[in-house]
Amino acid sequence: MSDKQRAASVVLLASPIAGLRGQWSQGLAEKFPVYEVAERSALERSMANLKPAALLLDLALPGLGGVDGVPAIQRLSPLTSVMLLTSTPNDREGLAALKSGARAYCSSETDSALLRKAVTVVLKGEIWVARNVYAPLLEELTSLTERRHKEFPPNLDTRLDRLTPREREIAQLIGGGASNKEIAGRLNITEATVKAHLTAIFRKLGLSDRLGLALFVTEYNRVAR
Amino acid sequence: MKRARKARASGRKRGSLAWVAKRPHQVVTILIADPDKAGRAACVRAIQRLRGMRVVGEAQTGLEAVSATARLKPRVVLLDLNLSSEFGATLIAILRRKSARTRVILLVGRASESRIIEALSHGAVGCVTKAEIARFLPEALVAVSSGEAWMSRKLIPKIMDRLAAFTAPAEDLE
Repeated sequence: MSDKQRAASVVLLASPIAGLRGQWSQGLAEKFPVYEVAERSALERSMANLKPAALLLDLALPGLGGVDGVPAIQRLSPLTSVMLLTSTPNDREGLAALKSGARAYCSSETDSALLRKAVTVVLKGEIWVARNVYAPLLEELTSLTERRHKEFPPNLDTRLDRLTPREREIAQLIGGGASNKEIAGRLNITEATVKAHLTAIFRKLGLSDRLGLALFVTEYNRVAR
Repeated sequence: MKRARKARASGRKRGSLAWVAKRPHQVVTILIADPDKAGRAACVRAIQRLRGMRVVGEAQTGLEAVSATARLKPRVVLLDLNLSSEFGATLIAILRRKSARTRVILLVGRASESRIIEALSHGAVGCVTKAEIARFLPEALVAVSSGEAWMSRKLIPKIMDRLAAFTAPAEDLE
């Protein structure tokens, strides 16, 4: 980081507890210009005037209203990375914090070296959050994805629509685990014809082998049902 | 029974596996699904040294992974990302349906972040790069088998972007 960038990286600390602010600034002051505020009106003024690179915000700040109050503070300086600290971290609140736009969520007792690292990585555009928030975060991602797929089902249908009726018949038989020979016997065609159909099916569906096709058909039937 | 005896025998020999025999139900069972032989071997090496973890099967294709998962109900599947995206990441959803207790950790080589996020959004709960298997797989297995998730912090901003896109008003979507 160049001197110029460092000069730009003002860090604002907001907590009603002087001891905490002192603790936080200990690890940060040697690397960043640090400013401190103890209550909400001073926080609002400093956000608007200083436009700090990062704000370390104690969730216990009176008048903040917890995580829900973060967007209002953020609006005063949209480019500031808001980092939330709390004496009682929990994974659900951590997820809510990230969704409110915060770039970090951690314990207000985080030791000074770690806190300096947190600020450094957040200023690089990363997000700093305890590992136990990862699981609820991914659950949220999965459930929203599944819900989206229910509302707008993936276009399996259109992919299968590219096949001719005969090709579709063969794809279904492969899905049932049939061999080329069995398919040939069943449809009264030669194995060479089955192979030719399969080549066309693979090309149209963008698959590379019959195992992939079997899985595709199984999944298609499940979704279509 | 046979398995428990075997674990006890190797436990005596190596010492570190001793408690495995006493509480065999607590062993974390692992299926390795990777078409690359070297990739599977790297996982086996990393897992061998861990107490309470055992490789119960190996699969080389997506279909093998599905049938082995249905049969063995492993606690963890180590899944090569290329296998998972073979079917637009639906393979992970299929694995989860075959065995509800199974958690999927992705093994990724050189992959774009968007492919990883795609796989995570279908229910994978871990992601380890193949170059870092020896260093990070043990940590990831411990986290995932105890219900947590394990991935690089660098993926989180991308995940937040994806979540924001889901909750954004429809006209904001591309």
